Amino acid sequence: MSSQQPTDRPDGEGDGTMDPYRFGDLPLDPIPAGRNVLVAGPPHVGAQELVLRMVAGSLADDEGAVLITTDTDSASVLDDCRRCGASPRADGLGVVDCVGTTTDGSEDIRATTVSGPDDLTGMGMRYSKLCADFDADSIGRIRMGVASVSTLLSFGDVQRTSRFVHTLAGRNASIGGFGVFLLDPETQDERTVRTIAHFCDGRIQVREAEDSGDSELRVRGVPGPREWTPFETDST
Amino acid sequence: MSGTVLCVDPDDEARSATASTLEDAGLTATTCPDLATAVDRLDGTIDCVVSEFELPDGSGLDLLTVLRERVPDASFVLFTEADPDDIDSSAPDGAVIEYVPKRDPGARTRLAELVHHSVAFRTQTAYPLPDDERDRVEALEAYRPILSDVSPAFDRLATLASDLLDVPMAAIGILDEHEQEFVACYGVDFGVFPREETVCTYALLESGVSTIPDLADDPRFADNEGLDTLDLRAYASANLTTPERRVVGTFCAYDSVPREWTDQDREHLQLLAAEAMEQMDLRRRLHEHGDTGDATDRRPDAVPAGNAADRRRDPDRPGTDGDRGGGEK
Repeated sequence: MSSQQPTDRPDGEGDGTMDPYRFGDLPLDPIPAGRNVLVAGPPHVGAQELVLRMVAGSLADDEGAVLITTDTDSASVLDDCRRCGASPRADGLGVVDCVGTTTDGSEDIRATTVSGPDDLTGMGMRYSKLCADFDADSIGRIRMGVASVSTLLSFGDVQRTSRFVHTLAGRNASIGGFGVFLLDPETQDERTVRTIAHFCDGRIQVREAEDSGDSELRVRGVPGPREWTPFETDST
Repeated sequence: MSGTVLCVDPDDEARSATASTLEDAGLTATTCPDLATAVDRLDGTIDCVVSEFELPDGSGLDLLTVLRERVPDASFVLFTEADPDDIDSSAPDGAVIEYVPKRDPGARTRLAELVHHSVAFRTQTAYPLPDDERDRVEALEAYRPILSDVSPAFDRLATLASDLLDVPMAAIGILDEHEQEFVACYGVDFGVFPREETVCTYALLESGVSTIPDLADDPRFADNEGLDTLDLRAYASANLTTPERRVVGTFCAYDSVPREWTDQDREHLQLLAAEAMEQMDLRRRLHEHGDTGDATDRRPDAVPAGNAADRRRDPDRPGTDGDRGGGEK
């Protein structure tokens, strides 16, 4: 796996200026600020839930979360977060909603809407605006999740999606944020998965254990368990 | 680190303040007030464009469209008073940008940090970069002075590659920061291509030999019209790797029909790439010692470089029927 990220990013590695991002009860080690990871796995075995919990769960007081949802409206994604135990502070969550203008149940969060999953320009601008809004409220640490890149690929070509992922990953690196990109490898050509993975520093693979049916993860490229490690999901 | 940034803003005071902040951040800033003037300035020297959305003769996104055509790797930041909800972002197909709201306190400082980072790490390219990209490009520069010297030898190696792998087209190219430039070709006449349009940009990320049996079946190149135009269907390449393990280019073989590449094809390509790299390395050393090193190409038995026409005239050549390898540009 390749990294596109800078070696002199403001991640505080070695100088203690920025704390790593932590993930509560998930079996993951803290990940240094400024990193991006690909979560690769089918949504039904817990990959999507993992992304929600990594981004919207375990938010510290000085952290904000932005979820870019490609196939769920902001109210539904908030419900999904609560269902899996990731209940962020209302003022700590922003959602870029590519599905519609539904706001019922999501009045308290920073929800913003774009015309559809093909409007990458709109998504990027709204993410940047949410970052600026958080910054204005003295929330400088940002966790960002895109759920999912698979949907973006179904609406656009690999290069266009690549530029989008690269740009978001670059922004996360530049502000010392943390980015998660969800991709279902079963729906994509292996070469496409490899290309998208190159924009991230690490990869978290998710699968269903053959014997127990539990969800398992293993980590490459960033701190975390190298062996398949079970984690609890809403369905287990 | 330095980079050239074009600041486009119709407001004289705002434009000047933005340029001043970028200059303070170590960047070189040039300025202009409108779309037409900005379009005239877009060339390969521009690393990033920072633009207001509303321009007297168009919009920042109009400028982005031209930028992506002329300088595909350059970064673009919309630094604007406009709110995202007031910007029609559905128009420019494929456009991906950075956005910084101009009104926020500290906006210019944040802009400078973002531009600095995006220029340094080229974070808006449509393709992945190798981990060691900066060192790789720096390593390539040491070989640039000898590229014209080595070209005849590379032509011979490309001809050999065509024979050994039974392909109608072979080429040896280098990949610099933004483009792929071919030093030698057989069966085709490649020019210079933006990195995002070349298969080798992706091969660069793989170790050893990369093979693609059918480019039309690869989602990364499905929309690449240039490959169709050049009649390229199957691809194989071996990296040109310096003694310091930096990949500076590729030795490529192409077929105009899909094909499976054999282990022997891979081995041959690997050997040819090693030979090409050794040629480059020897000539670089000669150059550094003040010798042009072109004597080897004056020997009377030097094999002339082939071309597509030569190959088509050879009726005995296996797999050649005169219709293959015609993808010239």
